[in-house]
Amino acid sequence: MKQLGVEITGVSKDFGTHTALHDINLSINSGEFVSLLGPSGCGKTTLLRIISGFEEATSGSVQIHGVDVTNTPPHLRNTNIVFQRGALFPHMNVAENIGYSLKLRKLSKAQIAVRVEEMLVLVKLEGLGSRGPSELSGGQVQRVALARALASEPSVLLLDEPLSALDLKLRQHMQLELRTIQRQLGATFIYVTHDQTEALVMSDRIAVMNEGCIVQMGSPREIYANPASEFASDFIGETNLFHGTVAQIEDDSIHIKLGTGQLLVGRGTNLNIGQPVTLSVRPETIRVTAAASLAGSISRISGHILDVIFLGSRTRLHIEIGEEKVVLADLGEEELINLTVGSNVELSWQIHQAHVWQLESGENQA
Amino acid sequence: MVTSLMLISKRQLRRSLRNLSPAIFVGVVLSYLFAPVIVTVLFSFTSSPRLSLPIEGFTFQWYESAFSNPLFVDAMRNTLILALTSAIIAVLLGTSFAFGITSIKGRRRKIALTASLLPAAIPALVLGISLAVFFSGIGSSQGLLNAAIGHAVLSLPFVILTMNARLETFDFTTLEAARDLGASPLQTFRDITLPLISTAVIGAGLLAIALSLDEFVVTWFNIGNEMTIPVLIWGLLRRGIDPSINALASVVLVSLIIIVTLSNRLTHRTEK
Repeated sequence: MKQLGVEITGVSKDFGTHTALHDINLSINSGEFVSLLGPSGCGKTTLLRIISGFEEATSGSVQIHGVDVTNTPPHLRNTNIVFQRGALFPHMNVAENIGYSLKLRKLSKAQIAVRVEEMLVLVKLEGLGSRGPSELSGGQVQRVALARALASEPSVLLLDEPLSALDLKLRQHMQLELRTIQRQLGATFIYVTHDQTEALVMSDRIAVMNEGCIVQMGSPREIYANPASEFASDFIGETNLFHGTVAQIEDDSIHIKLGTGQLLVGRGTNLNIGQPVTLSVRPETIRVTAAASLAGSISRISGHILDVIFLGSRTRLHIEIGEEKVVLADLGEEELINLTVGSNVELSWQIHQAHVWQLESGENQA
Repeated sequence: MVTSLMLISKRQLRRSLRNLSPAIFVGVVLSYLFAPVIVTVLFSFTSSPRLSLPIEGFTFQWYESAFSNPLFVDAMRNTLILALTSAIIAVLLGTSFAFGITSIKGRRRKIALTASLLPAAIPALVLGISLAVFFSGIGSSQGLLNAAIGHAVLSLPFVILTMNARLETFDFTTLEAARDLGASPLQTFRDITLPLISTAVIGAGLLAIALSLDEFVVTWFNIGNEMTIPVLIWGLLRRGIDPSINALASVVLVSLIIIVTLSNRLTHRTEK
């Protein structure tokens, strides 16, 4: 039985002439970990600030646990934010920071002390209650910020790129820890990030945002395997993009013709013959075979290997297929036999692993 | 072996001379700056009524005569009233102004800030006369209040400068954090804003007090028949140099040194 956490209906936001959000609709279940993922300026932080009450939506409504809070000021909303750089109160020690929301709720000193201790245990900072914020490391600051935001048991926790200032190792560690804490509490987390790995690692669902719109919403696996647009496929994970026109349509397999005359096949819907399109195929789904060993086929293109890069668990090939177009393909150790720099090769893939969309106007036409 | 030692010592001598010459120059400039002040303080303790060196004996009599001057108590009271009133006006206006311009971005903020600091460059004479003309124009008779408003104008740029410097390192997201955690705007001000800016506010206030304590020109044009310590000193000076003037000046000097040092401590304290 899914309980409603946050319901955003038709929210738009204009800053003067600039529209930051276009008609956003988003339902988040209680206890769900949802990431708002997108490049800077896509509106994800604005959306977070509208949920928390720091920005007013130009139109539309926000409901939290079924209660309309569209016009509720931030201090009366049961949402708490973990800020990008902690925003700890510099004149209070760790325990006072964590206990501040409880003090405002007029809890007794003893009750506050108990809850603060619980929170310190939760974020693994036992014994650091009397430290000042300036005596903490970057990771500790964010842990305190998390504990402070969770202390009053908010119905929704909003996280505004809280790990972006930390180094990679610590960030990866904190990602897993955040996930564990979220599951342990069964709390609703809305996580804003521009880091696709972060979103993939932690989220139940990801809302991919671009230019003030949610372009795709789904589980990390869904979005990775079936990106709904060129933007989503390019922003999440790595991909090869080909631009061409539709040459032939057979059921749902689309044959597209590149500028070089080569033919590629992929899946797509709502397309017409002659239409300009983009085909996206992920490096790890491409099969690479020595040229001589295969007979010609429309799903294959040929090229030669420019570079072989060892990446540990896999090896990446840079393959030139003409007109300076370089394709990336990731192979396992056993597939590499007889493939060296300069080898002529054939590339192929399963039709359902290549996605074809109508060409997005304007950007990304590299 | 011997020659090399001599060489080293020669080089060292030259180096120590070279190191010494800037020190001598700094010493000369500093004594130029401080000699008059030191002389004033020294003469306030001399037992001879004539101001001549060497100093003859040590006495507190000039302090006694200064403090027992019936005009002194009045002047002191007015000076303190002026200092406190003008400091409160300047701090309230200056702090609000500094907060206000944080919401303006870019060039317009710079213009607003520069414009607010400009009065510090206007000669006190011009400011004093302008205020006097303005007050008489609006029919306000000369008095303590007019002088206090004048002092506030004088110290306002310094208060703004101090508060602006504090707010440049102020993390405004802490205010959002407090609101987010359930604090009303008033609670946020009480629990977060005020504790974070209080030392800077006190520092700026002390600076305003220091600027007011020894202010003469603007006071003179606007205070009417009232008396402050600088006005009293000026009155005494017209009757010739009397060592009790040195005593009064020394009192003002020492209070200023204490206040300015304290103010500096508070405003330049590294924020945790």
